[in-house]
Amino acid sequence: MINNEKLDYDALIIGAGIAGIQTAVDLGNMGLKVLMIDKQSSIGGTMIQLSKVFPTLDCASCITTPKMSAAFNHANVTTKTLAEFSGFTEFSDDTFEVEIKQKSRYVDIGACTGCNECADACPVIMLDDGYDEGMGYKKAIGVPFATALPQKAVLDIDNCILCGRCANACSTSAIHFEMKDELLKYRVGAIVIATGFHETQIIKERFGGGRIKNVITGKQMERLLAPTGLSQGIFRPSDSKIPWSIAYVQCAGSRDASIGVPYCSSICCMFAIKQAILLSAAAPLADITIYNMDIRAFGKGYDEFYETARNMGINFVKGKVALIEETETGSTKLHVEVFGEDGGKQEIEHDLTVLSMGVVPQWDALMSKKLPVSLNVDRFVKEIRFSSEPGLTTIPGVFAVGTSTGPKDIVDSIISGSSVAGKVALWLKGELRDSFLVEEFPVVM
Amino acid sequence: MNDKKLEKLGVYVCHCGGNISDYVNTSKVAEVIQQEPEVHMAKDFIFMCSDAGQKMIAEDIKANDLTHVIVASCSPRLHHMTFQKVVSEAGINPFTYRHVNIREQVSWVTSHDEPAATEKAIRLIRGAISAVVRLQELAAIEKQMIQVGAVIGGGVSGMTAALDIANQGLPVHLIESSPVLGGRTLDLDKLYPYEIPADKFVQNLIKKINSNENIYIHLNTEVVDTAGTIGDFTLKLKRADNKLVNTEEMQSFEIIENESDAINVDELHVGTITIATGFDTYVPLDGEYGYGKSKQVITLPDLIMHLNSYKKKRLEINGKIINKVAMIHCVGSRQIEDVHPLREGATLNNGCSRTCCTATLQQANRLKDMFPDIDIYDLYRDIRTYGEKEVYYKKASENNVIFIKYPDEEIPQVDTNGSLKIRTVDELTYGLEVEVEVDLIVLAVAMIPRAKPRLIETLSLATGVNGFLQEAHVKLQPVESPVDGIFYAGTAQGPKDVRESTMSASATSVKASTLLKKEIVELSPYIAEVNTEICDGNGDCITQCEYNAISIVPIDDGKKQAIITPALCVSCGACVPACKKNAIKLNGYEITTILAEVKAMVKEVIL
Repeated sequence: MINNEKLDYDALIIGAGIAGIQTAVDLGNMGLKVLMIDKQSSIGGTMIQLSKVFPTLDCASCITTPKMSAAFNHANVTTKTLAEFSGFTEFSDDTFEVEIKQKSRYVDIGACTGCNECADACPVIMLDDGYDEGMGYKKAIGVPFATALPQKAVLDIDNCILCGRCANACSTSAIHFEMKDELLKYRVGAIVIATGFHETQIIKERFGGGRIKNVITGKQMERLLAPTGLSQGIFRPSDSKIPWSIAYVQCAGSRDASIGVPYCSSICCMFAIKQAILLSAAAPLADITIYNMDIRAFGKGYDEFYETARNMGINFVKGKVALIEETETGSTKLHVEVFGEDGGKQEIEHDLTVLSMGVVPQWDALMSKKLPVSLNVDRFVKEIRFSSEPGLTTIPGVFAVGTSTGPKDIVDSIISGSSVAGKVALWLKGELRDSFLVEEFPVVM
Repeated sequence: MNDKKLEKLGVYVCHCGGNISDYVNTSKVAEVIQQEPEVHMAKDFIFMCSDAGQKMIAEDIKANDLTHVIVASCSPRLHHMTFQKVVSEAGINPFTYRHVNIREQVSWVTSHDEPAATEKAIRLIRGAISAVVRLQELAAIEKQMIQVGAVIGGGVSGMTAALDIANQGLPVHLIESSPVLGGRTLDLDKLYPYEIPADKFVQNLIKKINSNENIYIHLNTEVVDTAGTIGDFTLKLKRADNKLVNTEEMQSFEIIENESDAINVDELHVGTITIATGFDTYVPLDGEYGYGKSKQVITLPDLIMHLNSYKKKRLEINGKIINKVAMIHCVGSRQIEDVHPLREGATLNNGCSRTCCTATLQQANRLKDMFPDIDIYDLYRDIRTYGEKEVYYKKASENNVIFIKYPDEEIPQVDTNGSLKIRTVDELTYGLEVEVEVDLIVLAVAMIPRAKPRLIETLSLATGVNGFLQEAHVKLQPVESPVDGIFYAGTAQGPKDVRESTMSASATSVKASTLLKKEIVELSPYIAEVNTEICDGNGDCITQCEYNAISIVPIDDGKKQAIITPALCVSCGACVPACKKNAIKLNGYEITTILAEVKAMVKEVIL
């Protein structure tokens, strides 16, 4: 039985993307104390990077920031950024002592006003390969992005030249180059894994292996389209020209055992369709072709969204892209096996090609060492009661939400976050132990 | 009516990250609005709803002693509450807050003409300013929460929802119209991807329901009428007389006897309602892919039921040995106008049913496992085995299921004269015309919304995409209905598999039990109010009120008067014009306020 009085927090949530945020808010609303950590300098996860969302075309910032704010300012939720889960001890009373590595921000979060004068003073300009996916620039110090939460500067010590200009510019003397990482320890009653996903990182050799400049990933296009992006327009990386013809290669990082992603990533068809619709507005004269094996518009209102895209003149070609080559002008030449009448092998040129990469769990071997939950064959966190009580892992008291357990879109991540909050609350009441001990699937095979 | 001049009004104009500012000159709007006499300060900002935007408002309120705030941004459906909370926390009465929609009503619809859009935004804000000046100090109406939940529908979603509320220590009524719990999951074979037997799964759930003292089960019971609002809903129940049918098949499911007679009620009072009424399966039209013309054309649920109790070595259906099977996807789903036949009066279902691709391939693999010599042709448009379900597609390919991809607009033709034949075009072989003779055709039929119009109407709910229940926000509030205190669990909201239904059900119970644990529920004060000095109790208003919120009571001297029950009023305003004596007003939206708004809007705008 959990002795709640001993606890620093009722639950620790690892990851502050939309699923973790939803779990935090729901737990907080139930009166439970939550510690939510994220290894990034801002909460918001993948969703805050997006342009708009399907099928409503709501701008992602408009619907993410209020959720971020609701969690961040919730009386029952404590948020720590640049904080990594680094280990735990389990006690006989079903509680955990968790270790969290608080990485140094080099900025005193209490003193920083978020004025961003430090960024203006900083002479180091570098590619932002985090939030902006390499499609924008950032300084070695500054508020991570316009809608970041907390709105506090962060110093990138690896790229800082220690010139001290930021410290001189800072009116509240918030910058401390000597700040050290800290190890924090808390007693918690439950742990929720909400570590999300990243794009498949292997760009196949036959798609250029990452060397063709005008072959970009879906998330990079997302940053080009986002109102919070640097470019404020669509260009292709090699020469900054507006692309007149854009190709989408579906399943570029999924449904392919050769890159270790045999499953379907569930969201790529929809984000490609959404981007195509947005591109029709951002580059109205551009021809857009989506090469696909199957269009998987399976959610509510999604097939209707697909139909809208077709009616807008977006070209859907059933086929498989075998090879992508760079032409002399920097364009991309796709070798495609096109299905359907007059199909067959074809070579088609496009100014820019977007690879719809897959969904791969952020939870990796290193995390598994720190928190040894079992994983399923696809390397997502395994749920021992997959259909009856989703979100229960193989360690009693440890739960998983969102895309940590498998590809999900935003709606399904939110539903997962809410549903697991209920299970966490039950666990904290001292119930649910039996559920953790009985796997549901080996009943009868 | 309060006509005092406002001392401190703050107006905030949101860019919505370009959604508004690309089409409306937001800084110009702020500049013009700043000139309005009532306005103390006007600002524009990239995202008012962001933490930085919210903080800006809160700090301005404190630093400048603002008394009223207006935010011009997106639809109030999205963020009215967000900003109401911000001003409330900063010490301003939340009911004096006004929200102006300059995205859906301006930038998105006037995207071709920036000066016109800018002017329109200014006019709308001016209207709001004139309304704010007239706002009374209203306070939320408090009422007692009935700390009991109700779940309508006893399938997997309903049972899970009830169980989760009950486990939070709250009493809950589980209402099921049929004599048994379990719903449609009982008709299934195994649950993917772990192949759990569906009947065992349901049995387990029923056991838990039965042993939970907080759950009151009402079988054979229909909800015939509803009334009330969050915290105090009334459900009128009708229990059918039909006895439990004790067939051999059903006994395997540990059916609960109708023991709930102990609480033999015809009316329940509950604080929240979870709707888990599930789905119906599409019944193909007479002749659609040969259905009804040939006994050898059956639906996927028919096949599953047939195989569930099948023991023979060779497959026989309707007296025929089956060697070749064709399975056709998207029957009743993803319908295209003038391509797919429609039942008279039916609306086109252009949505995807989400589960049938995987279910079809699961059964294809099952057929191959049970009868290895069988040939299977799978006629599809897109195979949608999303996520981990892709393994079913892979296994079907390994099982040599022959996939034929037919074009969206050219559906397969079935010939039932003589031998059963299917003709179609195959895109995978670059448009070859294919004709196959088969012994059986299996139609993967759609999930369609279950018709419950009465329930939907009396609870003021709406149906959205393809007739499924419309959620409060498609992305952010998928299990909440637009009506406070009512939630959607499972397939009533849209197609889902069992796991997804369970998740949505558990999510609803988190929301419902959080509400039910509150003792007091706060209601909006924007409701209709009777001016007792004018009202003569003639009752014209009553006929207009669909929510039974008005009653006529006798007062002194044999006179009568209308009384409005605040908790029942939904602020629709229908009663206001019904009163010929203008004795009813809608708080916050008084006729004088609206006229003043219109007047302010038509005033000339100089850019």
